Amino acid sequence: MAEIVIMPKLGFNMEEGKLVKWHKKEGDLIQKGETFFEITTDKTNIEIESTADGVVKKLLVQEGETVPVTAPVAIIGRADEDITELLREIGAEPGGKTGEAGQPPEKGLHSEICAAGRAPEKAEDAPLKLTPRARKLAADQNLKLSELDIKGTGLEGGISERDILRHLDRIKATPVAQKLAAAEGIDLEKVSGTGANRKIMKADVQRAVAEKTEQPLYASKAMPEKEVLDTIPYEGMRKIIGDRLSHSKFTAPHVYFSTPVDVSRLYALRDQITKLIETKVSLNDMIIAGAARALVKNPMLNSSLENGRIVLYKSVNIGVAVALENGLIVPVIKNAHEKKLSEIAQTTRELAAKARAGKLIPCEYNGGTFTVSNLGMYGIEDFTAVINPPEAAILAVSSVRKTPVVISRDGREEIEIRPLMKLTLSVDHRIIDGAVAAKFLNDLKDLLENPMKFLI
Amino acid sequence: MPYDFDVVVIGGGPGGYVAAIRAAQLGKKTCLVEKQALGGVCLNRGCIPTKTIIKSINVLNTVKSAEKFGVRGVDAEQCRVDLSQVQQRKRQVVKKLTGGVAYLLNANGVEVVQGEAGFIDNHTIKVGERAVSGEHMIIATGSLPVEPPIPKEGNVPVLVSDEVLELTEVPGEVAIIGGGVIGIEFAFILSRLGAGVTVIELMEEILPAVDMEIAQKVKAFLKAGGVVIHTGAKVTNFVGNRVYFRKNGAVESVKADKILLAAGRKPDVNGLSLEAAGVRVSKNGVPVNTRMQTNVDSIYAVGDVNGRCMLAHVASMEGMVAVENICGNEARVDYGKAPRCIYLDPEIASAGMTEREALEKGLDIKVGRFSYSGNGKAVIEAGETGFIKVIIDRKLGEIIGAHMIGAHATEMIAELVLAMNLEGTAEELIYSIHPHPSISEVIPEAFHAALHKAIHAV
Repeated sequence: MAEIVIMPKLGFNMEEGKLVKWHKKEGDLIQKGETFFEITTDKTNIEIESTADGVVKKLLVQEGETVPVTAPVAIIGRADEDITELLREIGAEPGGKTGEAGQPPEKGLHSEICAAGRAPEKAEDAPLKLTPRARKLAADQNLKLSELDIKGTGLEGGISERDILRHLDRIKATPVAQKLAAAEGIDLEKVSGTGANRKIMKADVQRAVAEKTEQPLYASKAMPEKEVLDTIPYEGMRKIIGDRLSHSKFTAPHVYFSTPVDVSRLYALRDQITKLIETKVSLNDMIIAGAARALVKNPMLNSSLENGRIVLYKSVNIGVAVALENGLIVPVIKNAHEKKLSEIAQTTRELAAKARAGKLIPCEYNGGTFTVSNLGMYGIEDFTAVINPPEAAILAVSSVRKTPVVISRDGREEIEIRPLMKLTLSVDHRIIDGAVAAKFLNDLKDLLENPMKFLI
Repeated sequence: MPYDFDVVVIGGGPGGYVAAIRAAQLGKKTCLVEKQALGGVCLNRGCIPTKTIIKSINVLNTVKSAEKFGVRGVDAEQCRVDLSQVQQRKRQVVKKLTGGVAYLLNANGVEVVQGEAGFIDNHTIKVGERAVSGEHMIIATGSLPVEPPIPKEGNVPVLVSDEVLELTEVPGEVAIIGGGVIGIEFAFILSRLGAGVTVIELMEEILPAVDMEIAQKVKAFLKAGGVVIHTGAKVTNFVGNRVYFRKNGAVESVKADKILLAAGRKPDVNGLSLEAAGVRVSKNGVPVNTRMQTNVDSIYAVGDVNGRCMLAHVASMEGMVAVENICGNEARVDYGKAPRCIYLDPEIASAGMTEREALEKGLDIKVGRFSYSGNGKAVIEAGETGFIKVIIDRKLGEIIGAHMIGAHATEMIAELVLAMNLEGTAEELIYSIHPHPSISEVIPEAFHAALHKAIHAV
């Protein structure tokens, strides 16, 4: 029996996935466990393995296409199997239930997800072909789709969320505005209306046309002192990072605490460890280990403000910011406080490598409780970081610099050259007071300057 | 409250009284100052009186043609309009309507102050001995007929429109100076009442603002009705009851028992002392922005006095827009979509641009025409002389202009105004089912013709 392959839901917040690459084409043989396709979620690329053996009968989604989670993307079956009926069935309910066909799509892992993605409505109430998101939108907007003349552009004329949005827009733009938009290639979804009830008028579309035609002029001719090298769409990971950071900065009042840390002893310890074990332990690994221990002592820093409550976590999951070509991602070292230094080093290395290869899976970058961002390798003297929500604090680690330091020894003060590293802690001042933050930072400084305490 | 009123309206015509009612409806303490009769020129000396007289003429015409419809017993030869009786009915109509305005103002709690207003400062006017202050002032003082400075000799029987409307006897010969809307309406009225009418127009065409095809049709049927029309003719002087004018380089003259000056109207700011309020005024009236605001923020000007568009219905809209802006709601007047009507028989109505205006603006247009002779109801009513002409944008089908001459044109233009305001296109009108039989069926037909081909035409 042919099996429908769907867009998997890989994280709680994942609503849609973009199919980046097919590793098989129609007619190819495929085995369970073989990489079938790659998707990109809001964070990363993930390879999806086949859960069935057989022949790829049909690819329903093109590379680059974004579809809602649980929407069918392919059919795997026997070489001689007729899937016409199945195609009709999923046309009737793309991504939804295919109950009458006898074979629920991907039992087990995905069945629960399928149920979640479907609006609680009986099939006979909606004889139209609807995607789950379209159905939800129709329910939210109280639309009687059977009475509206909506043209579906989905599989076999199925109606997608976008089709409904387009329809809603259609009735909100005047006929002249619609025709002008069509003639000028203006997307009415992006035009705000100034007419009665925010109806889109001709003038609104004209404004959009003017903006569209003005932009290249602006870039190339009108302002020669600002020549454009390239324009990059603000979307995908870039937009997610941007949205999250601005949300953080706009909602959490940030306060900053800086302290220099003398890493002489940390260096000495690292050199000793290097002689003992194969795994290379970096200064950053030691900072993570130190932070984990300081967080156990100062649980307020290991918390988040969620739904009107301050949640203090027992788990100490430390995110490590990893720079990527087109953004950054923060893989998480789970339960760092229970890990040995070598384990932390090992985990960090593996996660960073996966992150750079775009192969992190959501559970590897979700669930952090605190973040360490290290720009030491770039020689930065001092910087501050924006808190990674919903966490309450982030530690910015700068470079180690040889610095003259006044040392008191035997009642005498001397200047010595010491390797100093600046740590800057950003905290969400809504929930963390200055004294609490200072104590955490001092505890961390003490640990890092006296790494023997790791043992105690 | 530092002022006596939130809003003080000066002038009770269609701009002023509508503004006053609207302001009161929106909770403003409102005062209306009127020096003559409520309703202004429109109700007392303009739209309403002329249309009342025209109604009598149209009834005469219907009765005279009774035989054609199989109605016997009417002696067409004996049928005539008794002008003094028409005047009596006109006064009744005017009284009823102005009484209605007074009732509405009162019912809405507007205080009406009788007298002539003059500004003392930008928030205060003086009406007789009384000082009235307002947070916002709306000037709606209307317009006066222009009296061109033409040299006169002897006893010249010159009238303006106000005076013509009071005639109780039909003059023998009338010369009308000006072939615009007012002059042509009076040419129609007076000629149908039996006067010999000569129209003298400076421009090359009568009704210069009307679509050319329609203006020519008007000219043709006025001429057929005995009206003599001189275009491109400049009046040089009046000597007694003779009007001298220069046409094609030659001096001509025409004898007239009455001479009607219909050379347009000018904003009336007499006695307002606008300088006391710091309000700027030009020879074209009190300039306003799109919110109807004068150069003084708290003072607005609506209707003929602002010189934008001298039509009663536009004045009313300007009044409402001024009040909306006073109340903090953003509002504007879209002059391009205001209907313009001429109440001849057949009627003329239009909205939007004429074909010439559209071409001068460089628009890529298509024109659709449909004749009343292809319309069932028009044939029933023996009103086949008439046509509709629509102008649409070639690419979008947007309605650029609509022009009609024929029965009920002044009623039907409203449909096109609505369609234009809603930014409808030719298709929306074609696919709106029109009642049958009705003359309104000519509208979708004209749009059919513009796009491709009308159904009831070859």
